[in-house]
Amino acid sequence: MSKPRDIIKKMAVKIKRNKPVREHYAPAFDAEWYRRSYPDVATSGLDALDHFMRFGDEELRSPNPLFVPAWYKGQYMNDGSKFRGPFQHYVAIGRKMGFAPNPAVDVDFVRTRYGLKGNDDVLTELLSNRKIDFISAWFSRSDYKVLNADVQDHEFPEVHFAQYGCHEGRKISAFHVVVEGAALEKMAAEPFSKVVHSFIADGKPFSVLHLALPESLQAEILEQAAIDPDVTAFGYKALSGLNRFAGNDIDKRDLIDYRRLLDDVPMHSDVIIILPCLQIGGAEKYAAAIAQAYRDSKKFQVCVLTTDAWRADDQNALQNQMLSGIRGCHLSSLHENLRRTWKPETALALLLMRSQPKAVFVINSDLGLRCIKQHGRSLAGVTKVHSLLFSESPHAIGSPYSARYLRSIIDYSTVISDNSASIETWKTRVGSVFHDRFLRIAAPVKLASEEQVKVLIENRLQRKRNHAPPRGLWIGRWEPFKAVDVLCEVAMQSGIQIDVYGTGLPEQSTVPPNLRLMGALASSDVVPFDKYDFMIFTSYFEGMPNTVLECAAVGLPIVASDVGGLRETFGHTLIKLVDMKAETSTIVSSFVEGITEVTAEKEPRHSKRCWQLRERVAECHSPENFKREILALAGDHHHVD
Amino acid sequence: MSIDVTAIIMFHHEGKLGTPSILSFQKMVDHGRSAGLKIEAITVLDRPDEETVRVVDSFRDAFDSVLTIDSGDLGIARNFGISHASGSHIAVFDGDDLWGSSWLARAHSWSVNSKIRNAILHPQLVHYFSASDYMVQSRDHAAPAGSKSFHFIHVDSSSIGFDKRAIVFNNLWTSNCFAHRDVFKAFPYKAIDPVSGFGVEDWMWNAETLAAGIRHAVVVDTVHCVRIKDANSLGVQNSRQGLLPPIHLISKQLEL
Repeated sequence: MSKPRDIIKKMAVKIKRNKPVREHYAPAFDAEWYRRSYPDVATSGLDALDHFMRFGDEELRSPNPLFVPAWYKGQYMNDGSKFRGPFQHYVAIGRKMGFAPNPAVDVDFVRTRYGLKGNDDVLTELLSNRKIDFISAWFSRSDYKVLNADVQDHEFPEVHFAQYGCHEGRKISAFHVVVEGAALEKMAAEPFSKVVHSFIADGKPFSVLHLALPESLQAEILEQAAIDPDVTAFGYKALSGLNRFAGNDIDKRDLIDYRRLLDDVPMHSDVIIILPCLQIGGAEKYAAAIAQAYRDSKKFQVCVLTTDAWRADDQNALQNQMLSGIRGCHLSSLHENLRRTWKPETALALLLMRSQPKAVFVINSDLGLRCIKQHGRSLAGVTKVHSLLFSESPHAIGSPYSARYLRSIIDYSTVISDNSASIETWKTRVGSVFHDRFLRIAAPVKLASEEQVKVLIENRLQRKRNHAPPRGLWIGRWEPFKAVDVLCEVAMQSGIQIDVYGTGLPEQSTVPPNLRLMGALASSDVVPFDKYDFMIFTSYFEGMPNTVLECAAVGLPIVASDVGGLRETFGHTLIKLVDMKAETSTIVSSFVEGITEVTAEKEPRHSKRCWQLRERVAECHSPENFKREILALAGDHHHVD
Repeated sequence: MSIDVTAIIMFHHEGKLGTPSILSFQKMVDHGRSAGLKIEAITVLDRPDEETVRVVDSFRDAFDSVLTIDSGDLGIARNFGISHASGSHIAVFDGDDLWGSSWLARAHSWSVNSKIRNAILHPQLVHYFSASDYMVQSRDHAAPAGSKSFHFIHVDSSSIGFDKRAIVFNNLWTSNCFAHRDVFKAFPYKAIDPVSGFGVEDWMWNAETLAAGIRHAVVVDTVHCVRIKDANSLGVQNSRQGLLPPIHLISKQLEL
């Protein structure tokens, strides 16, 4: 039977084994720092070390400025150990096992570099030796401070690295970066990168990558610098820090997702139409008509590319019946992919060349026109290039393109307009040898049937017989160059109700009450023409206003600004033309007079005018003629095998 | 005596910049010769200016042959030099660059040891440098902001994940390369055709050979130092004219 003295001795040994001992903690415990860092220790009434041993360690408080308990626990204490806290684990096991107090320390490196003996504690040495700079092969305290200005006053910047720096991807040195697990694959593909250290922090894996050039390559370069110092004009020490990329990394070199670009433009696209964006306007309707003409022939695959940023309503625009011709085409937006590269014109040119289309139509696209300007010669060797310039108004966004590009594209491209007035102006800006490069192809307009026109005319005449007040129609984008100021004045002076259809309309309260704002149209097919006695078209600048043609196609009398190609189609008597160069008051009066005249017109002159309007549209804007002329623009380029 | 390598260096209007190039060329040839290679050193002067002629003349002893041509076309000038080469392998160089002294020896060794007769060899690293970087020179390891110098790492076309379609959008290898003479014979450089708008002879040559299945390989531990060109170089002038390689001619072979 054991004697009581032996039992107590055994118990004392047992107690000694399981309880943390102050003398083991003391060397690496900074009492003053602990009290400063955790003010509640003072109110506990406990000695700092006692507080730490009883509560602090378990609560993941740091015993000194260097030990990172949360990190240590995540890195080393995953075995379900029974230790009260990370520092107890470190004191009991970690120190002997060479565990690091924070992720930036390499214990073996510190021992070797600073000549520590077997029993010397690395943690104590790091805390006391202020001369220690490198605490691992890749972490220099001074480098980290230099590269991270907000850490300059930290005595132990490695703690900042452990707690914040690694999460924020802070630069560690000129040659080392830290990346989180998810980003590692991408960074590891960097040329000459090598993982030199890995650790866990807050449950996430991190790796330290070394990015320096191999010494063999550095030596080769420096040897050449001895022959020509220009080789290292940037400063030879920075040799490893220069930007570098793999030669086939087009994404990084040119800031282009080239794989997506190749997908965006299908190989063997027969016709490629390039637009800035999709909105309801004359240029876009013309583009849709071109696309429809080629698709209807069933011989051409059409690809439509937009080059500017899509606006919020562009997707809606595509649903509009007026752009239905585009809907059946392969449609891609290049803006997002090309906006960062320094050479979008070249990328676009190479893309077009690779596809070898039979025709390329560039319609009001700034990027497209720059592409022709820069690489037209190469493009013209592969395809037929056609430029269409709309919106010659200096107020229209981005234009006038003819002033900016005409002379530099005429060598390589036909230049197409929907009206002769523009072409005659352009011809004055280039030599006569280029005059045959200009083509006028009138926009196609669908005619209303004779029956429909008969009904419309009769309804109009009936309203007159009933002395109903006349009603007018205005269609367009509400923009200053559309002379909306004149429209408002005309409404006020005439007192006639004018219904306004279009986009960008203002608040009703800001316009005369007899100017009714009706909203946007889904298509010209849905305009209730039978309600209207005339169309009023105001604009300061125009090419060939489609809305006028569409109204004339249904035989609606028109009072219009004398702009663009209207005279070309209608002459000067069939519609009432108003000189927009006069004083505003004169312009307004002219419009009012014109409205009075057309609405007062009696039979048979009224009917005759209406039918003549329709006939003129049929003669000059036949969809069949348009189709024939457009199809003739596709070349005979064959795909080279 | 059969020649192992003909090294051809091209000059146009490099002037004084030709001096460090010739010194580097000499060092590289000497290194190759001390490694046991029989090397023929040729220079081709294409419409040279007076200063360039003077520089080359002052290093006359560095060359086995000095050839002159009046073409103004990088591709034609290269073909001309190649047509005068006696070596089983040929290396081409542009006259204002510099090259690691081990390039010829290592490239030849790769070619012989690999037993791949029709590979085109490129250095592992191209160090692009600009004298203008003196204005932003760094005193430490950090690359100076605004530095034009950079590193271009060549990739072997037979490496996993290499996508040959990338060559549609940019050249993947520089023009100073090394190959068996049969490669240059089978694929002569194309002349720039300003009328048709096609140019960039080395880009097109790389694309053509790649499309034909020729491997573009990388010789480890080799470096070329390429001077970032000024406005007077033929290459920059061609670029200004907007000339592009006729990439459409090889679309199918590149599996575009």
